[in-house]
Amino acid sequence: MAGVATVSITQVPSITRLVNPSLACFVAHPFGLTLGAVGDDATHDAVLRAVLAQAAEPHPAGTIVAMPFRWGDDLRARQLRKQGR
Amino acid sequence: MSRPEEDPRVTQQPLIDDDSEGFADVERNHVREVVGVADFDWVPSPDPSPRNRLPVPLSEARVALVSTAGVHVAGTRGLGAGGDALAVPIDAEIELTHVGYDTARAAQDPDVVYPVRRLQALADAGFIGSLAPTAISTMGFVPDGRRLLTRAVPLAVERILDEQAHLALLVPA
Repeated sequence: MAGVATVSITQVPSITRLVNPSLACFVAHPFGLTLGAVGDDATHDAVLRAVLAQAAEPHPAGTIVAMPFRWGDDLRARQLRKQGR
Repeated sequence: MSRPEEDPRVTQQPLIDDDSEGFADVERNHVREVVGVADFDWVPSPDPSPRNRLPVPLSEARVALVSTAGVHVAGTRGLGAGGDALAVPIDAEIELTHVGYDTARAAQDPDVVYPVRRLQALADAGFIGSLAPTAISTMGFVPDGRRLLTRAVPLAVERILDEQAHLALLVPA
């Protein structure tokens, strides 16, 4: 039986490389704001479209694709130092 | 179009602009010393999970949402850190309970971690075929990762297959 296709968003590629999923997309947003800021429907939509589109691409297993989304303030950086939630 | 291995965005090595290098050690120490799980460690998987081809165009694909944001139906008990999962109808009123991130933002706008509304909009727009009627919810913080494999994964696989999804999308929090 053929398996189900999968794609994962990751905010932490360094941990995702340990887990080794079939396909992941790196979105450098803060924890708790994976798709973008509260009420930012345009970014939520853009992230989902970009990630879902990768599921149709012929990447080798274990690929992590860097998505072109970055965060504007220091919340993510503080979270990565365990100095912010 | 370049071949995947020539695509500069694609790598199995450390990514350019990856600011998460070292975070696995930071998180391990936090779980051991602050959370108090003294024997916590990562369970690495040396080989990648195999890729399964999307059998239909994305515009025809049924997408199942898998969330680690600690989503549960409003008024019901939240998930603990034991590796359990819940099947949550996508039209359910939800709450979020999670020890690992500030759920206040997602309580204002669940789409930031649980994008049911936005995925339904993508289905309405024809970008995807449809959204599976049940989302799978688990907790991102599960100190014993083996429990995820024995508890959450079987439920997720059963539901995704029952609902004939073509693609599972995992969204962390």
